[in-house]
Amino acid sequence: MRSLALALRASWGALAAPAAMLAAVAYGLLNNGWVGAWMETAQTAVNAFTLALPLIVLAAGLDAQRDSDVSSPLYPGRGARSGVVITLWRWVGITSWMLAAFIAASATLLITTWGRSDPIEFPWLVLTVGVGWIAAHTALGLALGAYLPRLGLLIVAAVAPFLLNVGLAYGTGSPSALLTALDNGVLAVGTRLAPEAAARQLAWFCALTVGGLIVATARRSKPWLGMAAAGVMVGLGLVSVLTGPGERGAPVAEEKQICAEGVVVVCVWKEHAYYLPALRDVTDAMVEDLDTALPLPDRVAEAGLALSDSSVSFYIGTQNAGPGMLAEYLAPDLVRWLACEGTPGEVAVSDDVLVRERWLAWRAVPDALPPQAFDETHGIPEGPISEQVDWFAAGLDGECAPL
Amino acid sequence: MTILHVRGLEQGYGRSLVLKGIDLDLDVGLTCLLGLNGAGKTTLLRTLAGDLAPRAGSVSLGDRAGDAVQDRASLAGIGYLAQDPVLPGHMSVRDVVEYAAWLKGVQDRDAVGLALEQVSMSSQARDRCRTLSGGMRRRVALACALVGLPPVLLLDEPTVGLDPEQRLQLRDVVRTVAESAAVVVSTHELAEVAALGGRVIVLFDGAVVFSDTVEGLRSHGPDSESLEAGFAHLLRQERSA
Repeated sequence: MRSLALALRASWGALAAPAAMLAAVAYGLLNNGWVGAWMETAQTAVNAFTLALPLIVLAAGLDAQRDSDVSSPLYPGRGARSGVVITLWRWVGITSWMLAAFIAASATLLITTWGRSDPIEFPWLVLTVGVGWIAAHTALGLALGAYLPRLGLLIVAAVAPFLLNVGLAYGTGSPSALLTALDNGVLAVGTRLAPEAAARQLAWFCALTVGGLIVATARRSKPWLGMAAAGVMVGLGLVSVLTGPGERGAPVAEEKQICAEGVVVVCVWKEHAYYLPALRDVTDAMVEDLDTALPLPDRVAEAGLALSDSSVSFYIGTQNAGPGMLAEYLAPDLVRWLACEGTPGEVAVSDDVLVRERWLAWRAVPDALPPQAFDETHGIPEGPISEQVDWFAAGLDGECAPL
Repeated sequence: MTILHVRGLEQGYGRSLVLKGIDLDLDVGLTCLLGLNGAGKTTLLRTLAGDLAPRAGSVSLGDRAGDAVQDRASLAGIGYLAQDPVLPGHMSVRDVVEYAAWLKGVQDRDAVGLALEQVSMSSQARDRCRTLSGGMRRRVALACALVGLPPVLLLDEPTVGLDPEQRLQLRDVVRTVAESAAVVVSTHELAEVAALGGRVIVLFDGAVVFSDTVEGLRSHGPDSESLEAGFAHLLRQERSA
């Protein structure tokens, strides 16, 4: 325990960890479109930590650099401890700090979801992948610090993987397991991390950790071993990049939904139960009176829930969506279903279709500007509702392109 | 009692040979390692401390069999203070010395406090190293070398850059430690040798050319009048040889 306490006190993680935690929490809360359900929130916590990547690598690198000067009284070559023990001791110190920061940031974000969201599953796998990701990057930082004697070089080396990560994760939309723990948006409500994907990620992170520790340890005594380990890591990294991330999302084992009766039945995932009252009101307002001209769906259900031909599926794309946002999310899918009368098909985007989507949304949120304010050329009747419904139905006629 | 045995030690960088077959026995007490700049003093101390693997020869500690610079347990018995020690500024004085104790495998819980006491840094134990003066930093580094009471202590130009008062304090510490350990102080200043006393080893061009007392070096000159004269005479002899 004394050794661990000393490792913690000696590590630059003492300074880097609070900063990393604050950055991750700030990112998670500001970018809370991804926060809401437990899987989404955990995924956000893991991804938020990618912001801290330079800090993690830099702090670990400084830990390795700290005693590499032969003028230091702490130069490890003179002690009774072996290089392996010293490297592991340093790694435990910096990794403990960063894991504490990760746990604190994840807990903070999950607490924001607590109480309003009834979790389907606790996101163990997602958080485990996050732990593996951090452990790997502290090892990578130690390896870099062992070889780069100057702070400037270390900073460049710490920032470069971050930029690479950003490029891979957000530039191409196809993140690699090389650096990115998880891709934003992979784990929507009702999905969980596929165990195969998690195992693959963790295997890569283990390889990166072991490789990094070997490279860091071999710096003084066996440089050829370090070079060999670095070569294997680069090879594995290339395989990882070339083979891609694979399928990461998998449906949760048990479908858990909650429904409300209205003009039609409205269902959401149990974790999104807090949307249900507003969503039922929005749906009722949209479909009311439409049955005089069009067949209505039996059910409006959130994406991922089981569907029948008479169900409309739609996706809630942000946290804290109010009636206006819910109406905007629902209107296009409802228009498509009505145009195709429940059969599989697509509706091409046109002015006629867009103004009808807007009309539907306006019915649900009367405070919003009416569609006439945007477009006066499509002849929205200002007469009784029956005339407007007829106008709506006429505009959808022939718009469906069967799949 | 001989603590450190050095036989046929050779060391170099690239193609140049810096130490050319050093034979040395160190006993309990103070030994000044004297030589001009570039004579090989720092290389000798770093080799004995385990920083550099010797090209040839052997170093053994006490009765322990095997080569001390290859054996980690033996290395823990050798304390080393570098010429210009670098300390991690973000760590406290106590943590740095505790870290050094951990590296050496020192189990005694009181060892850190004792080492700090020896260098009169107990009251600054909680201070961050970056807040210390140059002299204080050197004392902390000395505490790192002293922790665990190693039987051999190697100090590379320990008084360079210190003010007169700090020099006196450090000499007192060195003399006290030398009562129970073999202490080697490298220097190129004759005044330092005169102040410290004890045994003197003169290194010239990578070889030991003199090993005797301070008085012995003084009397080496033609008229025995000063250390400078003795040392200068020795150098002339070696250059002409």
